[in-house]
Amino acid sequence: MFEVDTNGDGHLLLMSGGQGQPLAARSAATETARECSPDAALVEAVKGGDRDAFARLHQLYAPMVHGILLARVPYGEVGDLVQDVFLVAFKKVHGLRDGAAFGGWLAMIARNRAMDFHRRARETEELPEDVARPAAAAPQAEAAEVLGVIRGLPDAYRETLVLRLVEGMTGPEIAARTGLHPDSVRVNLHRGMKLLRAKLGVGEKR
Amino acid sequence: MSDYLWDKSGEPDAEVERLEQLLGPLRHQPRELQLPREDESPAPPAARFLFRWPALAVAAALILMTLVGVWRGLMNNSDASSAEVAGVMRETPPRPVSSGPTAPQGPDQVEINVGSNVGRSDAPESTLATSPPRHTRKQHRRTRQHRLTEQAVPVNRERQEIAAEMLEARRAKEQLMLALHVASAKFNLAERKAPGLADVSPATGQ
Repeated sequence: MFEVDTNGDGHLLLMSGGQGQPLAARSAATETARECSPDAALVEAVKGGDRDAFARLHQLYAPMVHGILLARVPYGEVGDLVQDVFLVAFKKVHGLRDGAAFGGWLAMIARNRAMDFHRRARETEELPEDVARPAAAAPQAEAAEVLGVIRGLPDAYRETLVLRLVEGMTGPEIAARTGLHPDSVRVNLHRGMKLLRAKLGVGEKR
Repeated sequence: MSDYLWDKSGEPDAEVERLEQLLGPLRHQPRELQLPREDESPAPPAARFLFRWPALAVAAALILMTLVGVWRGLMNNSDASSAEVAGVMRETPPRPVSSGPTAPQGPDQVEINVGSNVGRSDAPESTLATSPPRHTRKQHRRTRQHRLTEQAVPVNRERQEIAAEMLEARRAKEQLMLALHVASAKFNLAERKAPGLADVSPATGQ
C-alpha cells in the first residue's frame, strides 16, 4: 500500500539532500521532503484507522525509540518501555498535525517516558540493573561498562552515540528519524566520540 | 576526522568498529507490537466528543435540575417568611382604645410584640401559637399578590399600634398608682383600728 524503503534510502536521500547546499535550496528540499514524506502518508493512514500503517511505523522507528530509551534507562526495562511508547503514540497520533514530524514527536514521547520511569523508580526504590530483570539477557560486562560511560555523557551526545554505536544507524538516519538537523547530529557524534575516547582512556585517532 | 563515524563511508575507524561490535548485542531485537483491539482503536477527537455527549447532556441536565430546585426552594422560603409576617400582622389588628379600667394583662396581650419576634428562636410560645399555619403554594401566591397592596398599610398601622401601646402603658401605670394608694389607705385604716398590731411580729404572732 505504501512505498517505503525498508533501509530508508529513498527517504533519507530527501532529508539529507540539502547538505552543502545554500540555505534557500536546503529549506526548499526540506519542504519537498515534508510533502513527499512517507511518514506523513503513514500517519494519515493511521489516522484513518489503518493498523498496518502503524505497524510499518513501528518497524521503522523502533530502533530509534530503543536507542533513546537505552541511553537513559536500564537495559532490562527498555523492551517494555518501547512497547509503552508506541502504545502512547498510537493513542495520541490523532493530535499530531504534521505527519512529517512523526519522528521528532515520537522521540519526545520516548524521552518523556524515560523521565517518568526514573520518577517512579525514585518513588519506589530502584533495583540494581542485573537484579531488576534477571530473565533478560544481561549485557556483557565490558559492554555494560561502556554503556555506563556513554550514559554519563551529556544528553545530546549519549543519545546520538547510542543510536550510532548500538543501533547501528548512520548520522543521516539519526537526523531523519529524530527530526534533528544533520549538522547538529554530526557535531554531537564527533564531540561525543571524543569525550567517550577520553573517558575510556583511548587516544584520539589522528 | 573520518567519515566512518558519520555515515560508515571511507576508511573504517578501528575504535568505532570495536565499539560497534561490543555494543551490537544490545541492539533492538524486533518484537511484535501489541496494539489494543480493533474496537479500542483511537477515535479522532471529534468522534470522542460525539461518543461522550450523551453523558455530558445528562450531567448538564442534572446540574440544571439541581439549580432550578435550589432556586425554587429559595423562592418558596422567601414567600413563606413574607406570608408569615403578613399573616401575623393581619391577625393582630390595632386594639380599640377603651376608656374604662382594663383587665389584667393576659398571655394573648403579649402578641403585640410579635412583629419584632418573627424569626427568633426564643419567641414566646404564645406568639408561636398565634402564628398562622403553613400555607400551600396557591395561598403563598395569593399572599404575595396581596402583599403588594398591603405594603402601604403597615406604616399607618404601626403608628396606630405604637400610640395604642403608649396609651395602654399610661393607663396601666395609673391603675398601679391607684392600687398602691388604695392599699396604703387600707393599711392605714387597719393600723388605726388595731393600734398594737404593728408591734406583733408576723413570724411568731406575738
